[in-house]
Amino acid sequence: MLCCMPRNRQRLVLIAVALVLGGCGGMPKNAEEFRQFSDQRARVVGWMPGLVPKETFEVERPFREVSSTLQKKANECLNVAIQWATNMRSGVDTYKPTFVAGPTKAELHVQLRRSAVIEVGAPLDGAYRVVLDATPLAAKRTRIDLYTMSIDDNLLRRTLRGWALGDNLRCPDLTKR
Amino acid sequence: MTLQELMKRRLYAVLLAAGLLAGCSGAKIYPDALPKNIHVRTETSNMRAELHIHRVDANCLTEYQGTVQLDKPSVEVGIPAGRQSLVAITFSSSSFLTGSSRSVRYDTLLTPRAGYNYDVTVSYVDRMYNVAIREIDSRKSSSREIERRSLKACSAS
Repeated sequence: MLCCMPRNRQRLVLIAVALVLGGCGGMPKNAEEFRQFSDQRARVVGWMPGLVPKETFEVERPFREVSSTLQKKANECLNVAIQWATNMRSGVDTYKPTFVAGPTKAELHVQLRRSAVIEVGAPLDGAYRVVLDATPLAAKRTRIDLYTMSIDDNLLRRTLRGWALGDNLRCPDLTKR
Repeated sequence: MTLQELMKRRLYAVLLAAGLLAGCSGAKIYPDALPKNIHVRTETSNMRAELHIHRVDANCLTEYQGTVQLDKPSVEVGIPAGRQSLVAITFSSSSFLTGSSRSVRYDTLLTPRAGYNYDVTVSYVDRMYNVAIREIDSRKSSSREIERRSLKACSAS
């Protein structure tokens, strides 16, 4: 469909889509805004198949262990830049994990910058895709709050869940979102 | 873009893919010349897995030595002991129809020790991959996991 449109019209459609997706500049600028954004979406959108804006669960692991797994795996698996190309287009998708550790809370933020997409209002390092918060509950029990941007991030969500639970320490293949 | 241009692009993509398959990719077969000290077990679904070996010199510069296809569940390779190498595993796939290709890479520095064997488990299942390396001391029947070390961790001596 897009290939048959005049180029100017294609650009207008892409800009319109970017504005709609970006909420006219209302994209979360930091992790806290992303949490609030996801909470609001969860309230407004409610339950939709495949889309989980926020998920909370508890794991039977000490907080320190969960925190160190998240830090180690994020460095190992999420610091990636993916070059892609098709017959029509090419681009680079750059993921940026940020791990924030404290005595009573550990956070993992994942941002994605896409060279082929204009994301209006997104931070410099790209839009927030997933944010995970881990907080200690008891000696061997940790609470996890996991916020997700869209259904496209289900692989990241599944991966972070596995790392928090400690039952799946594999890296996600982010070339295939 | 006209239909003719689109068809031309498709033709170039097909020719490129054919070239790669014909062995023009620049990949060379890793020489089978050293005692086998690395045992690679592979489990993949719909992805091609390859092991690439690079020599790392005292200045942390790499020199590509060759590639081993991980197309069997079990493959044995010999990597020089007592010397640092960069071991990279790639999982890749391509589509003739869309002209697209994708590849994900895991690499780590490894300095095999003389008299030790290394068990490498490579898996790609359900869009997730894992590479685990264990050093095995067959004399003591003990083993330990080798942590991943990126090339950035290499310090020139």
